[in-house]
Amino acid sequence: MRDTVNMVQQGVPTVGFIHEPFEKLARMQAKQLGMPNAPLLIYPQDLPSNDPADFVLKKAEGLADKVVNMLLSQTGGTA
Amino acid sequence: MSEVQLVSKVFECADIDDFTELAYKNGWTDGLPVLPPTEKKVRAMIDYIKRDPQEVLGVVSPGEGVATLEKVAINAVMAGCLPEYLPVVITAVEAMLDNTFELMRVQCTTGGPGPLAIISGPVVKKLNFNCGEGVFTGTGHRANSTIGRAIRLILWNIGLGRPGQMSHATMGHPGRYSYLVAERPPEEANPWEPLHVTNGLKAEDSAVSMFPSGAHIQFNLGAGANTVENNLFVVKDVLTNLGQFQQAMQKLLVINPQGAHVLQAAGYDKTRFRDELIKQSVRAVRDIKRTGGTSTTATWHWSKLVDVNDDDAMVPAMVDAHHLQIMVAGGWAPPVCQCVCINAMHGEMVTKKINWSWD
Repeated sequence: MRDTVNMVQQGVPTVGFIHEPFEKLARMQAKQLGMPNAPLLIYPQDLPSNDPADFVLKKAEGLADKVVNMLLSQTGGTA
Repeated sequence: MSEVQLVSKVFECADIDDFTELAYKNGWTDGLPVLPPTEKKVRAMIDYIKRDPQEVLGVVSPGEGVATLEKVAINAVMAGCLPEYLPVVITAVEAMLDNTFELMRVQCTTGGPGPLAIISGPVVKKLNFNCGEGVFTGTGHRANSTIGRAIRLILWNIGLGRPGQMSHATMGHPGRYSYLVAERPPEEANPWEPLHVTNGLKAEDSAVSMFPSGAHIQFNLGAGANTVENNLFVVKDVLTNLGQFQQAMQKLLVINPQGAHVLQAAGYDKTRFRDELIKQSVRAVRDIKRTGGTSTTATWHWSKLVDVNDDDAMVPAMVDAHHLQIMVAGGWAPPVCQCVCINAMHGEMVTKKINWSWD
């Protein structure tokens, strides 16, 4: 979270990529760092070793799209 | 009493009962009672070290609390420390703030490690640490219990490492109340090189080593009751159990003095004992493949150490001498020879000299 906050403060398009079980940690730490609305993308709790490869790939692609959209939204662009 | 300015918020309490309830209400404790950090007590701490109470040691993760000397002293008072313990507590904080320790992960990971403070050097006798019988447990020795407790409260109150909030420990660690061990000095039947000397300090230095401890396993070495060859075989088995083996990681062996003397007499000084264990502590790829879950991004993940397609390849449990720390502590042991093995989690041990003389 320190990296996320530092990069936002430097004007760099940023997404904090957070595994769902650590969402509370991320949000509380962002608040402690003075940036309660830090740009975070929470991805669902998973067991990638047990999930089929095509499911994992599809999930990764979906999240990648979200990351791109979040980054572009900070620069005024669109995907 | 000095006139240095303390800046922490002041709370008025009618009596000790009132304070106790206030401490619970405000979350200043992990569940055990704490002592009131009165201005008199906190000033006594600050006066002892003669430093600016607003001096900053660093920022404590994950709560991003600023560890000033005043805040550290307050937690030390709450834990029951004497002023002369404060230099030890300060050094412990400095060690945990070293990047090598990885405090953020130690505080927040699902593995829930308990930071272990290892005290070595002349300070052990000067402050009357227990380094003998029951060395890991509450034995009535104020230095052991209260310094360990102060470290915990600092991580709780300044670092906000609280399960259910920013700490995600799945199980946690019983040492997360107070976890400290003191090494026997040479004059207390320790035949081996002190831990802080192995890690680059002088014998006459006093030191704190902070170890990010995962499992704490008591095992029976059998030194004196079996051959050294078999002793090594037993320790190797402890060091390579599959429940802790998806990556090479640092380990700490705490050997009782009798065990160390038996090994020494058999020609094994600490270096030879360590190096032989590192050499022997390997497991086949086919075994390691039966484990799972640790991220392959881990620095020493097993898949980075050997050919993953060779089931006969042997994976090392430790990659170098720094990965196996050995110290001597505890009481007399019978032939089964009780010892302790602790494995690191995420970070590695950091050793710092205590820049203080109690003379």
